Amino acid sequence: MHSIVQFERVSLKYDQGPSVLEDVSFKLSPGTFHYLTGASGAGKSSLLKLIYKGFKEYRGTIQVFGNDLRYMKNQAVSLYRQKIGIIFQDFLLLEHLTTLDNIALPLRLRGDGWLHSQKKARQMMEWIGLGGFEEAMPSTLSGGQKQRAVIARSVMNKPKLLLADEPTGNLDDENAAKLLYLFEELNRGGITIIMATHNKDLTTEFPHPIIRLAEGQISIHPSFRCESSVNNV
Amino acid sequence: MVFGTLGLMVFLITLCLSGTILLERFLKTWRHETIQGFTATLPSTSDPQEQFLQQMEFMKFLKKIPGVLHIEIITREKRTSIFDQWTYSTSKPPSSQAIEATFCNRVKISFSQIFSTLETNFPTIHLEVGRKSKETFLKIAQAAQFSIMILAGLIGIAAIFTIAFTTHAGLIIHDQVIEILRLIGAEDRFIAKQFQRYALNLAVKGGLLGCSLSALLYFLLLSTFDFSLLSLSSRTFPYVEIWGIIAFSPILVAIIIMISTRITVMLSLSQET
Repeated sequence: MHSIVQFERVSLKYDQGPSVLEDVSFKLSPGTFHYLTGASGAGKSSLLKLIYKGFKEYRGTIQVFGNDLRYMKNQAVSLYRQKIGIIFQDFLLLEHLTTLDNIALPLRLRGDGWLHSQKKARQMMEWIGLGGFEEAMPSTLSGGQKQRAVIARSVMNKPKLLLADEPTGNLDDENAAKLLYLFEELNRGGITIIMATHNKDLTTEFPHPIIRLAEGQISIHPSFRCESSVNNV
Repeated sequence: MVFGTLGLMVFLITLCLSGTILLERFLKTWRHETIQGFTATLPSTSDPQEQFLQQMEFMKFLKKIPGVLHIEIITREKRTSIFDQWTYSTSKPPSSQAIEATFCNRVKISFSQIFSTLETNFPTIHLEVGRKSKETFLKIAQAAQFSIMILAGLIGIAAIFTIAFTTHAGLIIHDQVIEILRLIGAEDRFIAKQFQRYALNLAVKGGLLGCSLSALLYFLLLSTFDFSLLSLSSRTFPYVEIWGIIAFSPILVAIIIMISTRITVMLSLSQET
């Protein structure tokens, strides 16, 4: 099957520091759900950052949607990022915009009209359980609400790939479980998900293949739904 | 702060452009009078009849010169009303008689030849291509016009630098917002558009402030001073042009601000990537 994300002998290191990733190769099939685990500082966020082209300097080849990221021009990066959804642990909502405007933003970036994007964002807020908070400023939302707002924003463009960096880090167990139910629903809708986490309980409760990062190397622990492979590209 | 600065800049640019228009209007009149004709001054005599005869003879002579369009005796009143009130004391009006001759533009006139003929026939006459006072004014006005235009240009450049600096500071302040926007796929032009919108808002407010100050000053000047003297011969005071400038300057400044904001943002963002 054609892969959605493919790493081929990818190495990454910060300046003169130790290698974060060392000759990492793997590929992920469309529609899969993978956890990305590892100790703090193992390189989980860096790997996600490589996928959304947050780094320029790395060795090896990274292909996403069949495009080699190294040869992607600056102008094309914006359009590429519109095709992926990114969820950050610290939310990164725009504090000066209302929740509705934050969620509608990806559609505005795509060039959709104000009315259309507002309407779609309202529908999304209802679906994700944030109905009634349209005009609320992000600072007034709880951690769980903020996380749902970020998820809503990240899936507004109907991305094919969703990258989540420790999305449950600021949530209690109940909200973390709700989030995973939501992710599974999105995954059933065809979105490929890579979720960085160090919450072992969640990975047990909601079993999916795990990409484990340790000392610059990765290992993939397949599950019954795994369609990924490691070091065999 | 920035809005006040922009308002002041709009006001100053309006003043400069209005000044340039006014000077241009006067210069046109003065150039016209100095280039196309000359003024002859006949010495005064004790006998008014003799003076009159001298005048008539001189004018008869002038009419025979090819290309002459118009001959006019400059009355004491007119002379005083136009320039001489600035150069002579009104309590001591000039006693000499001045006659102004205007020539057709399309005829090539050799003033030196005419002057030599006139001086041969009327040895006591004093001839001038234009008035000396006018020539002096012309030079001063031209220099002032040039300086004002340079000043307007400098104000424009200062406006560009002010906006570039403000935009740059804005880019630094909103660094995190820009980073988030880029992460969710915002193109540089989208980010530039947000800054342009903000700059336009400032430009409109500043423009209105500058416009109001200019209009106020203009009204004050018109109600305080008598500008009918400045209209000279047949030319009128350039009301339309000056009102046009007052209306146009904010638009010009807004355009400059929008362009410089866009360039600053696009350049800064392209350096970051």
